[in-house]
Parts: sequence; C-alpha cells; structure tokens
Amino acid sequence: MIGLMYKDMMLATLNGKSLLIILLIMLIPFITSGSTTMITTIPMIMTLLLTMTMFAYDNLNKWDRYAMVLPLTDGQVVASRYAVAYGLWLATTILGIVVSVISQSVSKTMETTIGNTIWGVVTSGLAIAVMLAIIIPLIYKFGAEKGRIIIMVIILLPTVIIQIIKPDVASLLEHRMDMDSISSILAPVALVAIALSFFVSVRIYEKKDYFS
Amino acid sequence: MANCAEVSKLCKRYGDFFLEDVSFAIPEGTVMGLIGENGAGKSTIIRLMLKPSYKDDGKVFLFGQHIGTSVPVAVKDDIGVVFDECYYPDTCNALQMAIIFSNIYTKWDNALFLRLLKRFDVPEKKKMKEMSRGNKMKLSIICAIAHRPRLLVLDEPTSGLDPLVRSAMLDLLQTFMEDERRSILFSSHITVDLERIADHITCIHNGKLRFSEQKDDLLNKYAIFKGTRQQFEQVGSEDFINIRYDRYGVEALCKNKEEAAKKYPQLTQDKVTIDDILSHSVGNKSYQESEIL
Repeated sequence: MIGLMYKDMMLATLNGKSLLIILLIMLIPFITSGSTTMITTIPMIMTLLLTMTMFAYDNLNKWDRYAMVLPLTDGQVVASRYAVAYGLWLATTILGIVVSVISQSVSKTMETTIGNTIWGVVTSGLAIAVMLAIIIPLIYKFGAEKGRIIIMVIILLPTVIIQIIKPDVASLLEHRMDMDSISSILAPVALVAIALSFFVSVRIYEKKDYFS
Repeated sequence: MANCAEVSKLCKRYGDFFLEDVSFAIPEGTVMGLIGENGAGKSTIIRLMLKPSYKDDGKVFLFGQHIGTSVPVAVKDDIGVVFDECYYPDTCNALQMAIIFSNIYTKWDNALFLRLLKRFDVPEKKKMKEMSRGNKMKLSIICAIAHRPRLLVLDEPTSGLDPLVRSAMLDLLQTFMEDERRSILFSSHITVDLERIADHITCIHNGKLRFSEQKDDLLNKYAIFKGTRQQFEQVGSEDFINIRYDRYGVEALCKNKEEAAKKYPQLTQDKVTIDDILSHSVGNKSYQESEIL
C-alpha cells in the first residue's frame, strides 16, 4: 500500500509544483488585501485538482489494469488513494490556516479576528472533505473524464447556493460561536461521509472490469 | 509433477464473444505457450486467472489452491505479470518503479533488479514516456522477475518488438526458468518465440480449446503433407486436420505423420512448425485461394 501511495504522491507532486507556484503568486494580493474568502477556497481548489490528477494519470496509463495483479486487496488499492487524497487535504487545509494567519497579521484591513478566520478555514476544509467523499466514488464509477464534469457540478452547486443565501453566510462569519457550531456539525458529518465513501468506492472497484 | 496453475471449464461471455469450457494445466517447471488468432480468447483467459470474479463459470487453481472470487494476496505475491503494453506511470523512471514495487512485493530483490537493468541495457533514470517500446517491455519483464515469482504470466509481451529485443527478452525468460520450480504462461501469436522456449502449447480458437499438448509431441507427431490436386483426390479428408489448396498444389496438416506416410506414400512429407499447426488448426477446413481473390 505504501508503494501505491508513493506513486500517487509522485503523480500529485508533478502538478503540485506548478500549482504551488501559481498559488503563491495568487496569494500575494489576497494576503495584502486580507481577503479571507479566497484563502479559504484555495485548499478546495488544490485538493480537488490534485486528486483529479491522480485519477487522470492512472486512466491515461491504464494503471488500474496493472493494479489488479499486484499483491494488494481491492480495499488496500482504494485505501491508498483515500490516504493520499486526504493527506493532501490535510496539508492544504493547514496551508490555508497558515496563510490566513499571515494574511491577518500583514493586512491592516481585516474585519474579523484571527480565531474567526481559522474557524472559517477549518469549516470550509471540512466542507471540502465531504465534497471529496462524494467525488471519489463518482470518479471510480464513471472514470476521470466524466468525473471532471461531475466535479464541476458539485463545486458549482454549493457556490450557487451560497450566492443565493450570501447575507446569511456573511452574518455567520461575524459570529464565532456560529462558525464553531457549523464546524462541530461538519466534523462528524465529514467522518461519516469519508467512511461511507470508502465503503462505496471499494464496492465499485471490486466490481469494475478495467479491461472491458 | 504438481501443477503451478490450472483452469477448468472456464466460461465468460463478452458481448458476441464466448469463452467456452476452456481447461488446461501448467505443470510446475514448464513454459506453457498460449496461441490463437487475435480475439481468440487468450487475454480473456489470463484476465480470468488473475481476477476470477470476472468469470461466468469454471474453476481456477493457482499453486494447487482453488481460487474463489479473488486471488489471495500471498498468491499474487508469487505471480509476475507482463501485459502487451506497459501500464506504468509514464512520468516514472525505472528506479522509481523499483521503489513502488519494493513497497508492494514482499520478496522484491533490488540487487537483482539493478543487475537485470544493466544486463539488458534498460536506462535507470529515463522516464517511461521517453523510453522505446522495447525498453518499456524489457523493464516490465525485469520488474515481473525481480520479485522472484513462481509463476510468470505474459500476455503478448513480444508483439510489435524487433527481433533483437525479442531475442533479449527470451534470453531473460530462459534465465528465469533455470530454477525448475518456476513456470511461465506465455500468450503470443509469434509462434517462433514459443518454439524456442515453450514446453507445452495450448491453442484457443474462437473461445474454444483446440488442443493442449506437449510441444515436442506436436512437432514429432504432426506433419505437413504436400502433393498435387490429382494426388489429393485419392486421400480421405478425415486423415487430415486441414487441407489447403493453392495454385501450386495442395498441402495438408495431419496429426499422425507415421500412419499418414504409410497410407499415402505418394505425398511429400514436410517438417511442421507451430505456425503451420496454428494456421491449419484455426483456418478453414478447406479453401481455394482462387475462389477468394
């Protein structure tokens, strides 16, 4: 399983380096302006893109045909993908927290406290964890190509909803207790979603014939 | 002699294609050549052996163990597989593949891997996407051998390769077979390769088993008989597996060359090759080229 994780990390870092450079360039104006909205969406963009990259590379190289003959159970093959995806999620969420703290310290125009900003990143990070849990089994089922369209829909749908109820979200951001309660609800939801997602992905992977 | 692998009455339907009741065994310490035309079912058999949950019916045995829906991890650890294409990530090089496999296979031998890379001139640090097809296939076989498997499964690894690379790959396989506890299942329609290394030949045609016999028996018992159309007017078609007419005369494949030679002394006898046996076994019973063209 460590072998597969190493492979996935190598694939992720291929695009990860260029993504990181773009990210750092993008971050400069947001850090100086103190825009927390973009800072909290950065983990989402990076994790989803890198996870998609791993699936797309496997698809391109027909790796799953080969993975079938490796001395690993189907559960281990899927688990390695989840471990790397959620490892990246954790890393990018921590990066989001670090960047938001720096932004808070550098910017003079911040309207919220550091605590509120961190809770904002954690909350959006948990939302991303749930989104990943939905996306991964869908990519296993429909493949990386169709998966891209599904991801677009999944990303756009909450964005559209947030845009509609924008005033409520803004008021939540101002009240730390409200953010805490959202996080405390999202944390167990994310855990259950990940567990269910993994179970479903293994079932899909077991039944999928990568040669047909 | 114990069987390293065995399939019994294997069945699988893929759309119009139907693999029907295929049975054969690979004795330990031998090389089994799996032949047949494109689409005959060779790759399907290999997939069903490696992922038995795909099969509709039949049984798969590996190292004497009946395999249910999935091959146990410990059994897979003893199998090396090479497909007709290299499915490794094209951004990885040989050394990175070694890191991946050393963390997957319990018996990965890195020293052996590096020795084989050098012996067969496979670049260590060149990315897969920059390698030639020959080097990719050599690397695939080296990786399959470097974890010291007991069974090597090769699904048309030599197709599309030049004779020099094919020869190097066959050398590698012969080195692998120096340990007599090891076995190879080698699917190919390049029968010259199989003539060089196979001990047994199994022929598949349209999803059905044509024969599964020892190579030496095939080459000793079978023969090609040639003659004119007039000479062949007197022969019984039941004595031959296939009779082929062309503008220069007639040639036919027979299964018992001694009997046929006694019965038809007017015909010329030629030594048979696996290619002759394959083309006659899976070809039409009798056809005239002039009728087609």
